[in-house]
Amino acid sequence: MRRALHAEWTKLVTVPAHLWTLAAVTAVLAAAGVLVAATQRPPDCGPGGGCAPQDITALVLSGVYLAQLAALAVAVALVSGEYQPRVILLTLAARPGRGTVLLAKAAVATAAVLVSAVLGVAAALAAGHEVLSARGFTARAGRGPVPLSDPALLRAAAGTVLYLVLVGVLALGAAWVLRHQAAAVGAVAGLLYGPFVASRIVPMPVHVLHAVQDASPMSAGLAAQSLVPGTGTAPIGPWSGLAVLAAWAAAALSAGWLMLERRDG
Amino acid sequence: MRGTAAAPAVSSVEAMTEWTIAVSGLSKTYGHTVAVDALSFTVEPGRVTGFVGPNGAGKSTTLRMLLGLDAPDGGSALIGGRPYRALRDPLRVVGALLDAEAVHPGRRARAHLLWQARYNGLPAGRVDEVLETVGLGSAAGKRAGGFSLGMRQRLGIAGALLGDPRVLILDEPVNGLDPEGIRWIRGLLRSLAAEGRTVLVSSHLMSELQDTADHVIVIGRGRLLADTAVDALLAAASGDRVVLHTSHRSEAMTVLAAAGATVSVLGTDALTVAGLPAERVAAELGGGAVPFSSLAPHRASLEEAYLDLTRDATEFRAHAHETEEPRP
Amino acid sequence: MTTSLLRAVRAEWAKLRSVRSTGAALLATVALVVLIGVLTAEGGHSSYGGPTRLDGFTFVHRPATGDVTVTAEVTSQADTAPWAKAGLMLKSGTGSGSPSVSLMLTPGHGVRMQAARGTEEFTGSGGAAAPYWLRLTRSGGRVTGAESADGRTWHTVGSVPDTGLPATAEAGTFVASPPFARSHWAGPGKVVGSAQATTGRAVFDHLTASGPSGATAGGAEAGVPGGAGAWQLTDVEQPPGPAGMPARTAGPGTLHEAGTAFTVTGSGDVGTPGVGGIGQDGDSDTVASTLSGVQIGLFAVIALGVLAMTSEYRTRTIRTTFTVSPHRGRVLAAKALVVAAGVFAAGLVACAASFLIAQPIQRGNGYGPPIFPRHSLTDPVVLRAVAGTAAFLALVALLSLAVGVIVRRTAAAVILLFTVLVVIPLVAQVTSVGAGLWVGRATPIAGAAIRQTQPLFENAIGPWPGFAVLAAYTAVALGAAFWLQRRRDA
Repeated sequence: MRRALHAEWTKLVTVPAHLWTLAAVTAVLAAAGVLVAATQRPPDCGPGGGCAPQDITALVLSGVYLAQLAALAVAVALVSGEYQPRVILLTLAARPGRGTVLLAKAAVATAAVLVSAVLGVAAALAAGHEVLSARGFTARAGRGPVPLSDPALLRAAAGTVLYLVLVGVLALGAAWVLRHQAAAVGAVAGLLYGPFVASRIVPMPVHVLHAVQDASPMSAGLAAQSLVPGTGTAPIGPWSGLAVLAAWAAAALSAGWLMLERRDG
Repeated sequence: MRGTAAAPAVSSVEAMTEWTIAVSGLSKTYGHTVAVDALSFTVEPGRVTGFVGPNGAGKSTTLRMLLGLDAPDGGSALIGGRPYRALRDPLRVVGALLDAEAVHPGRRARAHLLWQARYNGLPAGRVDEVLETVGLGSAAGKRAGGFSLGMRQRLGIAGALLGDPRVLILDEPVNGLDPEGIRWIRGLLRSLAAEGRTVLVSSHLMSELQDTADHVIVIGRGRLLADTAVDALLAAASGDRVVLHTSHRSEAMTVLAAAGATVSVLGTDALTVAGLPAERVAAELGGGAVPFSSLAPHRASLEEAYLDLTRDATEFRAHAHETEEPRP
Repeated sequence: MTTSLLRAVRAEWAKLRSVRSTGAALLATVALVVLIGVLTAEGGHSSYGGPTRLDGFTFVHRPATGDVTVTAEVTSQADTAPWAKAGLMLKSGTGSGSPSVSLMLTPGHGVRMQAARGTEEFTGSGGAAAPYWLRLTRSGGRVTGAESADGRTWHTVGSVPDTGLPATAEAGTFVASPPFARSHWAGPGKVVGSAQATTGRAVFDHLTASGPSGATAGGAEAGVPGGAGAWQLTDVEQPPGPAGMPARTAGPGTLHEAGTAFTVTGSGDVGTPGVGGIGQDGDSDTVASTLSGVQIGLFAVIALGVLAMTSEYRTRTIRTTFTVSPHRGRVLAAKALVVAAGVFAAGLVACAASFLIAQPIQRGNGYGPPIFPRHSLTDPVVLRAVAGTAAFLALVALLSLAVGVIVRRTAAAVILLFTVLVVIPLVAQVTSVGAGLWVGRATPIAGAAIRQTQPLFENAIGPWPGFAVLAAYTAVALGAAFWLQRRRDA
């Protein structure tokens, strides 16, 4: 397994497009954090007024909506790169154990997305904190940014990182099934954004809406970002939400493994 | 997965194993197309074995099953008595070239070999060695996307040599190589065999193997047609045929056919005559007053031997150029 | 030239048609648009279920016979609701629902005049705010409303010939303030509105009601009996609505006199659905909502447009194409025509079907006249929305095609378009209203505005300007694609 990891890591870092895409994960998270923070104004509504509660932390981390596209692209590229020219022949000739190849690739993708996401989330939170303070979100007004040491904030940050990692694993599994880069990217993006957008367009009774949100990979997974009760993308708890996404990812990876085992190389 | 003491252990196991390729009763069907049909043969070490058949005969499918890429529907394909998928660090035992196009265009040549080396715990220095061996030393830092077919072919061969394997399986290695490259690879294959390795080389052109192979396995339509030494094949194919040069081709054909010979056209003024010894041919032509410039016993080329073998499969050959070998 | 283009078009059509993914993408577009349209109609319920005539307010009045002019300065008005009303009224008695003519100032919608039992509305100065002068003049059967910023220069707001008022009507000022819809958070992505009664307050000065022959402040003239002391306060009560309706009034109104100034408080509302701001909360663009599925149907259109080009690059078919037809501009033009026509046709089917299926469902869910007029497919605005939305999808396909030419790689092109058309609008909506409006105006998704049929407050951009924005982006992208394709090696 160690050799497989080493080999797959070599594959990842020897294609510049992979590295650029990973850098994009970090850059998008950080840039969106600053941009969103810079366009926020302290809410101007009376106590108990008609405005929705605001979750500044989630807003600063909203680069994840965009960054996940880069994360899924790099995961898909790792797999589809085996099929565009049929490199998979060489991979399986070098390591006939399909399970080992799949796990090594998943581990490498996880590590790569993890690193870029940690950097991006940290940069977004730190920079967002500065910008928000400068824009009048002060603790004195009771609407200050959550301090960086707050355990809830750390949970939201870790949740965002885990979310991106799990999206990567989901994309990886889907790519093993579909093999074509564009088909896999389209399918995973559709799976993530489709139910999310649909649940925002289609009016439905609250319990149906919340059931849809709790089951959709993106809504449920991103609930981990929420610090303010009642906001967020789904009513599900942060860890349960990530568990829903993890279940999707595990299902995709199992399907990919099954296809790889059963399909002729 | 392997301990640190693995490397020496491999060589001792390798030394004891007889690295033959043994295919027995191998079958594979794609949908309604039978690609390989109860195929059996063995490939011995110490010589170059040609694996020949027209396009779509099932060569690549057989090699893919040999390498554990496709699962056989029946029979077995073993290397050193074990299926490929049971080998640990297979590159140390078997080097294969299946598809020279199987290179990520964005990766540099060196990196392309490096990840393969790492899968089997081979030292990175080995990558540079094989790049030098195949003559790509100066292109090691270039992206494979810009490589010509010939360069990719060399890169693929480098990959096959990476683990210094006892067994080499090369699918159409001559494709895209220039004449110098073809000469180089012939020499390489012969020297690898001389070192006692098992070398299996496939080709759809028998002539490519003429000066290289010691032994040939001929298949057509997924079935074994011949498994024989090249010398024996040539002798059998040359038979008792006679090559006749004459400017009066049609008269000669009429006279000889009447005498019971099988005549086929070789060129504008040349005929091949079978079924009559040379003396009888000369006598018949003299009797018919047909002038001829020369008459000599025939020395068959491997290509003719191959055509002889596959003559029975004419029906198949008529289809061969239409039916691509199925690839999933 | 034309025949060769025609040949190229036919060749490209044959190429597109022979690929299975084309049919799949077009089918997916139609299915998604109709499905989301129907689901939206199924899930939406009209927010207004109240009575068809609202007539409850605080009335400070006295009888007036024959021709009369009522004048007052609204010196201040509390902003209790955008549609709070303070102004003048002539009414047949003090019963709810009796004929009346009223002229009013509102905090959010300027000067308005209502007549014909509140079914007719005239719009005055939109930016007017207290202090402001209002005047109602009755002359025979005709009542004319006028407004003035200073009490000297008057502008007519509206004039009604037949008001249904008796010879002796009640004349005076009124104050009303409708319940204000407060939204509260019912969980992620769900806002629930609830009505909360409000009490309006306004101060009037210089209130006079006089006959035609010279007016005096509060004076008794021809047919106008009584002096200032004769002003009388009546709470005109709205009859109770259907069960479950929230309380419409917040207690009785009050009147305070200080010198010539009257301070009046009151709650309630005057008007009918569609007039006086009644029923105008929430999204009332029923036509646009039947077409909301294009936001998801977009996914398939992007895939189709991109693949039409990039699949040629991936399989190197492009070399064959350029060998067969060396004029590259013609190839791209033919491809663009074929893709646009195919998507437009599928889009038209999808949008028309979605509208025709969803509208009856909407009507069943309370979206009916008079607030939500019945629309037919042949109404000009509906036609614009339906055909325009199909054209929007065709433009998206062209934009995708152009990006496919520029980027040449399927996955990269899909991600780029997905980012621009789906993710950035989404992130903008999620993060701030201002960013959402900006994205809705300046990015290609502005083209989706073509499905709007109502000028709503929350619309970022009008239908045609939005469409023009997308068309401009598409034109630029196609231009770049033409230029690049001519210069580049295949």
